[in-house]
Amino acid sequence: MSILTPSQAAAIASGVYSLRDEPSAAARLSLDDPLNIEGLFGNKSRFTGTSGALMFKPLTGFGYVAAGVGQFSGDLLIATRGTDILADWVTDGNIGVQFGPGGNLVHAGFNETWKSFAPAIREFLRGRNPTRIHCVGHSLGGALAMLNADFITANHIAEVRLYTFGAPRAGADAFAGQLTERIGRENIFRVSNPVDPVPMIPIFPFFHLPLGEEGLQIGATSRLPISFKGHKMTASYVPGVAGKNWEHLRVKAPDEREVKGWLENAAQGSGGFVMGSAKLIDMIGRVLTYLLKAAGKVIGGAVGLAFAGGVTILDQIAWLLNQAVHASVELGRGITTLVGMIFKFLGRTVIQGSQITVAFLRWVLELLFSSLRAAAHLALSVVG
Amino acid sequence: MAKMVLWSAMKGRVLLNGQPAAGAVLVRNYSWHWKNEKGADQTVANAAGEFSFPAIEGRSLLGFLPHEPVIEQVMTIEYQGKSYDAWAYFKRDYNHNDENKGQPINVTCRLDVPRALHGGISGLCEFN
Repeated sequence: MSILTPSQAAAIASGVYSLRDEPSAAARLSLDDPLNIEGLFGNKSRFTGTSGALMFKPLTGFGYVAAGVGQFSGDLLIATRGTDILADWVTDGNIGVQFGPGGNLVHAGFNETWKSFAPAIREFLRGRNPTRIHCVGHSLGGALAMLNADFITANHIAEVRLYTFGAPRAGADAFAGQLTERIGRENIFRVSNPVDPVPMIPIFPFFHLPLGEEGLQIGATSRLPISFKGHKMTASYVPGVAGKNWEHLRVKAPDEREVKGWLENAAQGSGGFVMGSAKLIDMIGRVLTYLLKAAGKVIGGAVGLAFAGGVTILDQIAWLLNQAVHASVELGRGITTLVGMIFKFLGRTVIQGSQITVAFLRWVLELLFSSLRAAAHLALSVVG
Repeated sequence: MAKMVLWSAMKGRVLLNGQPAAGAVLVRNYSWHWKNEKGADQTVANAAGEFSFPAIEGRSLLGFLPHEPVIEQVMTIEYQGKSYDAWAYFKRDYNHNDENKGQPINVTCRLDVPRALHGGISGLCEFN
């Protein structure tokens, strides 16, 4: 089994950041291996890509492809670095979607960056016949690793091993579901930190890989609910996986029954939820997903119609939840509870007798996303 | 605005064949990925070959946004008409003394020995 260990994968995901300004004097003069691939992969080929907002798209080294040696002979490695800017991900849900490399809906920003270096990947792979390709990345680099994996498996180029650290959700359920199936659950190693804000976003309708599984976790590296430092490779993930194998890092996802249980407890005012806690935001994400799935079942065909429009995802979520409130008493109660959980997370008082409308739900969700931005701010003040 | 340490304060000695390299010019160059900013400072070793540098701190209005810090550091030493690659390092956080696992940086740079890996530093300077 040619699988990178957690430490090897983390070292590669961290090392790829050193490539950005290559050829740099620091890289040239380093006597160790800044990419951390020595003895595993060699003969690397760098590729560039663009990131950032529309008006500012610097072209930088975004990753590299390298050929396996020794145990990994016949394999390839594609390592992608994260971007420096989180703002695009934590923005208020006004995120667009595009059709990704495998034909399913993915985050538009990630896909734009992927498309900027995709020709270089295609060119590198032309005429090669690798047994498997290891896709590795941290943060945005993790999202790009998923899109690389999507491209490779959709085109039947090779088997894939996918390793991500602190990666955001990159695509909608069809993307996550089909990619999970094509790669195989056992070949997906998604590592997160409970206090890292990046894997918490964007929330529904985006999903993590493997679909329906919790993935792998290092222990929380902070008592704070959200920690900027908890997102860093060197300060968090590299030490967090040291000396561990993949099974050590595996955690069990709560099933639907447990999520319903939380919802019932919350509806009764119990559950011990703490304002601003990572646990609560995690539960909000799960409850939202559960309710939207349930809403989709109740509303049926109308969902497709709504999602075909040119509105934002936030609008769509608000619309769908609002439809559910009117379609089912039980769902209506669940959504009211969800709003209460969000208010609890935000430390706000629930406005008694509030009418659930699309505008109200959108406002509540907007508040939630804004608070995540603010929490990232707060976490940073600790770092300095 | 949080202080972002791009290169920690450091002091040390420069020696050639065990003798102080008086008048050696030490130049620190850095490249800060986050702001795509490059910079440099320099100092001159005294008669005992001793030198010191203050910390180089960065400022960024958007520095509060989570990102992976990467600062490339290269220090050269000019002495008696020759240039020596004394220090190459990727600093991966904004704390003081990241270069030496949190400990104050006090080094001896020997110009007559082959470059080697000292801790994470590639070059001629060894932590005391």
